[in-house]
This record gives sequence, C-alpha cells and structure tokens, in this order.
Amino acid sequence: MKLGPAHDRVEVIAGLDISLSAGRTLGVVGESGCGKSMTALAIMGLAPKPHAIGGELRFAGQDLRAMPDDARRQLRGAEMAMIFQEPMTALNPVVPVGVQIGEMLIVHEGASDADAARAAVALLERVGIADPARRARASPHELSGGMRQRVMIAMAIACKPRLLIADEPTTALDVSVQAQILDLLLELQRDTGMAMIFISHNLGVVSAVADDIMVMYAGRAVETGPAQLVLTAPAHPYTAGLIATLPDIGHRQKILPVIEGSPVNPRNRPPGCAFAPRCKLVIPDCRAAVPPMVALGPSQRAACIRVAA
Amino acid sequence: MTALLEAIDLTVSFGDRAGWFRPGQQVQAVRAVSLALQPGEVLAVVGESGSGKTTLARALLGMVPIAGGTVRFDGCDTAAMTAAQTLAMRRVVQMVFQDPFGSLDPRLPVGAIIAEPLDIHRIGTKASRRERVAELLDLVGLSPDAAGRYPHQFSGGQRQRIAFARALAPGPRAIIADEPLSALDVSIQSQMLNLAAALRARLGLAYLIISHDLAAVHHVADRVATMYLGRIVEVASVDALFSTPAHPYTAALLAAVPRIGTGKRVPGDALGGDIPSPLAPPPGCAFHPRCPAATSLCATEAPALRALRAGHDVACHHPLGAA
Repeated sequence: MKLGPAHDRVEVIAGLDISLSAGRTLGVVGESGCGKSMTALAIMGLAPKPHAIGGELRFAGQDLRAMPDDARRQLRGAEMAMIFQEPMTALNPVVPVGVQIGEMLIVHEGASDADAARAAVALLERVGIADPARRARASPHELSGGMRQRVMIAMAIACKPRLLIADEPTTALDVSVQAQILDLLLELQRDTGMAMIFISHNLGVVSAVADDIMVMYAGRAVETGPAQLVLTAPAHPYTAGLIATLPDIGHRQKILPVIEGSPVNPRNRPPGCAFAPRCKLVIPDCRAAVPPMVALGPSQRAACIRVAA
Repeated sequence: MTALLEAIDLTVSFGDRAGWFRPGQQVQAVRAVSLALQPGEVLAVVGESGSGKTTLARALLGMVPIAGGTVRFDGCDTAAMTAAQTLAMRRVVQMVFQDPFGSLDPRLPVGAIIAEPLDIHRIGTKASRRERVAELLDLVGLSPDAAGRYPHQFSGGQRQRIAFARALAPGPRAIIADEPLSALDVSIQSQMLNLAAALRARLGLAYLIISHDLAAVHHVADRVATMYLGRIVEVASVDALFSTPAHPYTAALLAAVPRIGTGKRVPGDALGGDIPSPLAPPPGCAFHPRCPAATSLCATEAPALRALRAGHDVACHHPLGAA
C-alpha cells in the first residue's frame, strides 16, 4: 500500500501476507511507523486517501478490492469491526452511548428504535457494565476510560462481526483495567468464534491474547509464527532484540540489552533489509536485497538472510 | 541522614468555589502522605491514573499549593523558605516530563533549550554555557551539532534525551521524572533506562520516578511506594514489594502485568472495577470495594500506614503473608 498524492507516494506497507481463520487471534507487533495501524485500516477499507493499494484482499472468499463502496460499507460494522486506542475520539461526545450502540443495529440490521435501545442495554450488560440501563443514557465523557472502551467493544460486536480488529485497545488504560478488557475480548471470542487482529506495541499484551504473531518493521513483516514460539524462540534479530530489551519482573539485569538507533520511517527505508542499520548481525549482503520470508520449521517464518542460512 | 526531599502528612486539595447553580467541591488528590527521598536513592511511585502520584510530585516541587502538612527540602520547611532558597532548591531538584513533544519549546534551538536553566540560575558565562551544553549533549548520547537544531528534527527518544540534558544542566541532586518512558517506542525505552542508570552512577543522582510501568520500575528502583486514591498504601524495597507484596492492591497490580512466554491469558482473575472518584471516596479503606480480602472492618475503618517489618510499611487491616 502506498499513501500520499501520486507525485509523492510513500510505500507504507510492502508485500504483506496475512491469513486468519475464524476463532483465531493474530497479534501484530511493531513500533510506531511500522505500518501496523495502516494494515488494519487497509483491511477495513478506511485507509487515508489518496492511496494506492496493490495485491489482493479477501474476506470470506470475497474480493474486497473489487467490491463497490456501498457493499464495503455494509460489510464494515456488520461483518468486520474495529476498535481503537482512544475511545473518546471514536465515540460521538454528544450522543448517549446507548443510542450510538443501537445505531449499529438500525443501520445494519434494520432494527426499530425500540428494539435497538433494548439491544443496546443488553450489549452493555454483555461487556460487563454495571447498571446498563442507566449507563446507556450517559454521554461518553461521563464514563471512565475502561468503560468507554467497553462501550466501543459493545458497538463493535453489536452485529456479531466475524472479524474484530483491535488497534492498541488497552494502551491508554491502567494495567488492572487492561487485564479486564483483555479478558472481555477473550471471552467474547470464545463465545462468538470471531477472528481477531490485535495490534499492539506491547509484547506482553500480545502474548496474553494472540495465537499467532506477525512482527512488523518499516512496513514489512519480518517474522510470523505461533505466538508462544515467536516470543520464546524468536528468529529475526529485530524480534529477538525487542524481547531482550524488555525489563522483566523477577529477572533484574544491571544493564538492559538495547537495539541501537531508532525505528526507521518507511519514507527513508534503506535499501535491502530495513533493519540492517540497527542490526548486530548485519553483513554486506543484508543491504543488497530485501530478504524474503523463509520458513524455519512447520510454522515459523522470518525475513532474514542470517537466520535462514 | 537528612532526606533530600520529604513530605510529612502532605495533603493537596483541588477545589472550585461554589457556582450559582452548584455547591463548591473539594477533592483531596493527595491525602496525608509522608514519604522521603534520600540522597542518591531511586524511589518509584506506582498506581493507577487518578491515584494522585503526579500531584504528589508536583506538590514536592511546590508547583501546586499545599492544603496541609509540610514539604521539607534538606531538612528545611519549604513554606518558610525565602525566594532565594526556593530558587536554590529548584536548581537542585529538576523535572523530566512524560511527553517530549510538549515539554520542549519548538521555536528554540536545542542548545538554547538546554542552556535555559543555566540562564535562569545565572550559572557560568556565555562561553562556558556553550561548553556545558556540548558536555551535556555528550552525557546523554547526542552529538554536539544537535545544539544548533530544533526539537522537531529529533525522534521521540532523542527529544527525551534533550529533556534529560536540560534537567541535568544546573547540576541537580535529584530528578523527578513523571512517566518518562510511556511516550517512547519499546526499543527506545531500554536505551533510556540504561542512560538513567549510567547518569545515576556517574553523578550520584536521586530519582523520584512516577510510573505505571511496573516492569520498568522493578528494573530501576531501590524503593517503591504504591498509591491508591491519594494515599500511600504500601512502601517497601523493590525486592520486598515485588516478591512479597503485602497490600492486596499492590498484589493485584503485579498480577495484572502482562508477561511474555506465560501463554494466553485465562480470563477471570482480573481485578474488578475502576478506581473510585476522589470526589466520593468510599468509607473505610478506599480499596475495600475492589478488594478480594475485604471484611466489615475494612468498610468502616481506614487502615493507617504502619510498619509490617523494617522498611516495609503497609496500610491494610489484613496484609498478605502476615498470618
């Protein structure tokens, strides 16, 4: 995917292959600017314009890119839904939350106002909000951050989507509330069998919810595989570096290992492997060509010529 | 040993006067807190948002008015200090903020930003200040030519290094850092943690760190204080607090930290509820509505902070591991 006007396009995502089946969670990990949110927006059909998207995008066998805007809009919200980091900017500040949840059912399922209102209260109860009938009449600003995130989840699951994309849904929350929201998402997934794409920079959070992981760097996937395998036996030097740099409770080190430098912006992506300038294992060949994704076993893949060799 | 900075029974309240249509309300953001930062020590304050940890830091620096209690700097009551003494205190206690995008003046070159505290405190001559800026940039791992550039030309991590250099400029004995890592990328956080440790070893700095990142706190702190709704509910050495937390709230916070390699979460053991509004704090122990171990005593009587063992204080009627 490229973003920006035709004369000044930046390739923000390059050559990404993702496949996700029902009931599974894919954790997408990376630092700011790595393209993880853009990937989500591209799947949702919400990428900022002007843009150019190449390749294929299929949802339950349908080609999303060939779909007219109307059909895509129907799909969005009903079949695939998304929740964001900061619910305050995603919710309408002057409309009671119950009305905002009910709106989903009126728009997508043709529910009557009364049915929608009743369903909104039930959904609020489902996402663990106490006293749902009263909270349905509240405006977003009257709720705590955790409750606002619950409201956004209620909106997202109102039409029982088959895919839920969660973009840093707990980053703005305290650890205790974060645990509550993660539990809620896991329970909802267990009950509905929806697939989830869970985007976060926090490896611990991803570890708590993901079945599979994709690590992104500068718009490309650098490693994919089963979550626990990738997190305990990382193959790509970037993944290994990220995990090593995290301070861990119970294992105190005098000096933390670091990845030198800062994450690279896709606009200034160096030739060859984008991570080469920060990599401890770099050899001249790394800068020659973009390393392809190579299988390292039945399920783990990494884009690094040093580990494949 | 005289504490560098000490709060004794400190209370901070925010309030508004009664309006035409509503009565005035008082919120106690910090309630009767006693806490001391010793020279050369790293003390961390942890707690959820709304627990009063940032207000406590600001009150220690005299940035918000104090409603009750005292703040002592080097043993002197800050309320009784002269303007010159206050200025001297501000020279040796510096602050680093969370957001390196908001805390650096975008219109000043980095050299001027770092030299500003030197100008304010009239330290050195023009030439010596320039030299000092170069020395500080080197200390925080930036190249000397950074002095001529502007904040927007730097990444978040580099900006936080600039904020650090500015804090170090007047030769402080303590740095108060409010969530210094949370705006930074994961791979940059470890660089900053190492930098903070190196500067401490080299300059003998004390740090007061306000953070909700328990893993980072565990890495850097000597002592940790847990705050809940304006009160300190537990203070202990970092090892004691992380290995044998005595307050159920500390234990719940530790249990909620997501860790790598422990597999997918099993839903169900999250601490329920939200931090209550400080406008209407629950009676008794403020944590009792969320506490798994609460009894009727907890609902009526607020527990005082008392020593469980040497160096480990807790405010709980039923501390964990005490039985």
